[in-house]
Amino acid sequence: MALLMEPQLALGLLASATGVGALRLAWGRRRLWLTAAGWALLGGAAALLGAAAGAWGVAVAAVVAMLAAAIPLAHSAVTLAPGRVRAAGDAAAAPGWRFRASDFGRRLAVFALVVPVGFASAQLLAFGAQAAARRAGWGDADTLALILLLQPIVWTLLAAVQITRAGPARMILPALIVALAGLLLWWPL
Amino acid sequence: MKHEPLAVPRTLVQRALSGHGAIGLLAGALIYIIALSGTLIVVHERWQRWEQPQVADSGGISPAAVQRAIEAVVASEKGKPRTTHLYVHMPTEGLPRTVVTTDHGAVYVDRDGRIVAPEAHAWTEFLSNQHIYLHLPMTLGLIVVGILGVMLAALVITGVAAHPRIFRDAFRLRARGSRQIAQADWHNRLGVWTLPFALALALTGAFVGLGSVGATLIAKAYNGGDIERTYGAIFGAEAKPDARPAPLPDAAAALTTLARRFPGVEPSYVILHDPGTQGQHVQIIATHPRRLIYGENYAFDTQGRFIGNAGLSDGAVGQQVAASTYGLHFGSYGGLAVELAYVALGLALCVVTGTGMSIWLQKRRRRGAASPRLEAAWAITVWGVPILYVALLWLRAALGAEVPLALVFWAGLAAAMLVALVRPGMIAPRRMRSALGAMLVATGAGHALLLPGAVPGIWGINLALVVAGAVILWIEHAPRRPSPSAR
Repeated sequence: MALLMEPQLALGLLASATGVGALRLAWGRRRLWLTAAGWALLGGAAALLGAAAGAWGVAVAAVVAMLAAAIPLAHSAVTLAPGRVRAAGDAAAAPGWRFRASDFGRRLAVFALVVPVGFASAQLLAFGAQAAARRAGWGDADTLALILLLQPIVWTLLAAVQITRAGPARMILPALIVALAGLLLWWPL
Repeated sequence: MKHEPLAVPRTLVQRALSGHGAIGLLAGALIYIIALSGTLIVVHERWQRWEQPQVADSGGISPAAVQRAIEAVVASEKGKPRTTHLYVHMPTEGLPRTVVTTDHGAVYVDRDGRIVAPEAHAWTEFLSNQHIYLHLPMTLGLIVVGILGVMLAALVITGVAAHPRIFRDAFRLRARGSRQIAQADWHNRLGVWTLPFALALALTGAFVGLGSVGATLIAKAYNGGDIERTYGAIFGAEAKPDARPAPLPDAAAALTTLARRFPGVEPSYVILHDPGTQGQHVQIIATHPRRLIYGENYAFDTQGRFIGNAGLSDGAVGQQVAASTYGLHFGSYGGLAVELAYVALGLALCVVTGTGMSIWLQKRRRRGAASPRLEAAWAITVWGVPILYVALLWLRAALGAEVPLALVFWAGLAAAMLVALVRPGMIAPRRMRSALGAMLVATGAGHALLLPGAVPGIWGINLALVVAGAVILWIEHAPRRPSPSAR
């Protein structure tokens, strides 16, 4: 409640919630200006709250926007016509996973490449990045934070890229590139 | 039954969907357990208070009373090995009680600093340890949970890549009619709207969980393997130990100094390092309003004179970012309002996780490759785990805080999984949902009836339990029109 007594914060929270409302109004109506207004309100709310209260403000703006979406979703759940299952198309698009002994090796290779190899590659890149940052004059706290933050981010992206390759063989190259980048950052040419 | 060979999906969307399914299959159950336990422990302090309602709240406590509490606890441990650390949990909005913890246990103290009862929140602790360590040894558990955080983040990204219309359909929620479409819509709609939350939680969780690996590398590369020194760059270093005996430090003076020098901050913990030795020092963790950081570490000498702060609030960017990951992950930056928002978003994440696997299983069934054993095992995961949580709560209430809840949980889950795999026909999700609803109503009502006279915060949890149970029962048993797919 105390937050609402402060104009800048109250305006930011309001913009965050109404931004979602504007997007809902624009949805299905092909009103580009309304869509743009919705995104502008969301961006403006984050900027306003960020300026007023830093990262805390941005986090609060995001939480309010996500919660605000519950209202149009609830409305949609109540009013939209019941869904009907398509004859077979949807099912046909389902991944063709079968538990067969012959697939075991392939699955094991995918697991090994995405989990331990992906982890190690990402760790190498994060370590290389902090080593480069250290050479550039960053302090101990910043370089430690960098390696701790970068590793999961790089690994996530790498895993997403690997898992969308056509087969295990094609998952090797992304991991190799990431690891190589880490080595280059660690030992600059 | 004819089995097709494993097809390699050709388009990016197909490959993303396939990868999304693969990660879900690999890690879905554990991600669900971590999401559910995490959702519950957002309000862990409130659960702790609810779990021991008979302990009176101490409310605000004076620095002198904190000092008396420290001395009383140290005196009560005479004859035991000297504790290496002593923590005083200062009263907060969620847990308005003062708790003193040493290497030998924890006790509540009243507002005058007198010991009133042992801390015995075994169930809350069980949930916290499940979320943070999966009940594994500490470092291994953190790493496993961190890996699952990365898997969740990868699920989010591949989920978006697998659904080209996911943003275009952001408001399309067909909750009625076909169960399969309803589940797909719940999965995709909640997934897209909680995307920032899921990504933030997954990556901050991975940061916390996998941190030990990166820190170990840094320690070995630059600090001769000294992990404490490495982490000291962010959180502040500990003083050099000196085991020679000394009188206890003046924590009251430290609290008074803190209040005078930093009037805008709220002490959450008073920590004595190596109390009763020449090497002791006082640290106070204090929260800063409207900051994501979990707090700032303020250091004081034995006389309560201010030495300095670690810099979590105003130091290097890396320190502030690192300290902020905890607040962002645990939702501890905005009081009850943000906590409730995190509970709601956490439940949404549970729905996304739960429906994801269900959709996959339904698609298999429609393709003529039903997996009744997997379906039963997934029903045990989604509905059996919360049932086990409530059952453990009853067990704790009946037998006391000494019951090994983690052991009972994993043994119970393993037994239920075994039944699901051997006799899948015995697993009835509908009956499980009804049982869960009834158990939640009984727990809330039972707590209110058996432990009357409690404070509003405790009544609030009872009410939430009854409402949650009633909603589950209503959804399960409300008369509904036949769905188009059933016609």
